[in-house]
Amino acid sequence: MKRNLLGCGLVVIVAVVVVGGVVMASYNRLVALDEAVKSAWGQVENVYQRRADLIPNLVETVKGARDFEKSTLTAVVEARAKVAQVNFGTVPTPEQLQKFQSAQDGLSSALSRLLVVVERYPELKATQNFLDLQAQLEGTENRIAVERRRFNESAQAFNTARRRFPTVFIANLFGFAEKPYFKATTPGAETAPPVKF
Amino acid sequence: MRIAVVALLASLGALTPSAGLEVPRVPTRYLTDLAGVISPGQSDAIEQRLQAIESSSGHQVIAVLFPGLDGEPMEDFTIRCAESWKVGRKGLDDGAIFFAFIRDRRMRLEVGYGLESRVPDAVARRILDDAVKPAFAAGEYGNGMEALADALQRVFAGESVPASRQRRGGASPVLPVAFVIGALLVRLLLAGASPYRRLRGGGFGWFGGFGGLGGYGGGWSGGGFSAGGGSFGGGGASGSW
Repeated sequence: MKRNLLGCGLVVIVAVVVVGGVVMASYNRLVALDEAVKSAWGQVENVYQRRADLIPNLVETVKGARDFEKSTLTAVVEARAKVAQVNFGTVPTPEQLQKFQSAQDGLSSALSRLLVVVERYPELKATQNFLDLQAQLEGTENRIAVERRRFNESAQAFNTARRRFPTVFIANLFGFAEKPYFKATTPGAETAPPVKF
Repeated sequence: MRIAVVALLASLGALTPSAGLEVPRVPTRYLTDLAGVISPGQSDAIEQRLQAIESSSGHQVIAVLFPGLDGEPMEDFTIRCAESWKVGRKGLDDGAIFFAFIRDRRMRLEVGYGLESRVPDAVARRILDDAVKPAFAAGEYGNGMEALADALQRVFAGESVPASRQRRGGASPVLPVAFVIGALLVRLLLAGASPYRRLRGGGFGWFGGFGGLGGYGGGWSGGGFSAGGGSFGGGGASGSW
């Protein structure tokens, strides 16, 4: 009788330890993956910020060209102002990410329009200042593509782990939400580098 | 929405093996001429130049010449190579890789995080356009590579070799210091421990777990190149000739 009770107690203790261990391991894994997503998002914001920072200089340089088409410049400046409003600091919710992406895409298209217009100003295009800016802009677009892909990869790693059994219970228990992804707005935009003129 | 996510995941998955060009193993030489466009003699000379850059500045610079891209988007392919090869010193991320795709007449200089201030994109573009392009356009690939080595050497000349561990603006020095103190304490407590054991800290990559392990291998090929564990973020410039 006494031995039986002792055996039961032992089984309960072992069960508690095992379950506790599983919960802890799952939780810790989620935390690590969550941190990875956060830091990937930080990099995404960094590179987008880097692009926004280039714009005043770009506008100054382009303004210097004789009778440069004003409307394209205004479009860039306005798009940049919109981008400045969508900074979250933390990993965004799906709706926030959609807003972020549409603002950033607005700036991307305003910038590529500007670069197309610049084609009509050969003297401007040939200046060292403009060439340097163009190289920086291209480099930044490339960094954006890289960091977006890495963010998606880390979000995917998190989401995959989150949906696994038994982690999914722990995720729900501790309120770990699924991470959103960047979506390709145009086919292949995830990987394609900016068009070089 | 769901379909979009699935499509995206599919495209992500498609990135890795894909049909076109595969990411080769970590090069074991500073200059790898897969296209066979540089004479062996000149190839050795360039090899020594690039090796000398590493021994004088500490920055690992390697060059790989491919026959062609086989339809692969260049920047996508080169960053995947850079992620997998990990050229440059770990923590300093000060590597650079020159890529050329002969049939496509395109090239790229990938610059590691830690070198971006020394070789900003504009400088990378100038190196490609002013130094490499003229020789490549004339079909003198070896001379183009020498010009690249010259240009980088000039850029690196006069700079002091960074002694501190810096990583893109973030990590405070408190953590490494704490690790060192911790390591010393452990060493004191366990007097018998092997003196070659080192505590590894701060190695948590933010894309942790992805990418091939580069730092291994090439150990037996005496005098060859061996990657140090640096990371890249897409900095550098692309060009064509």
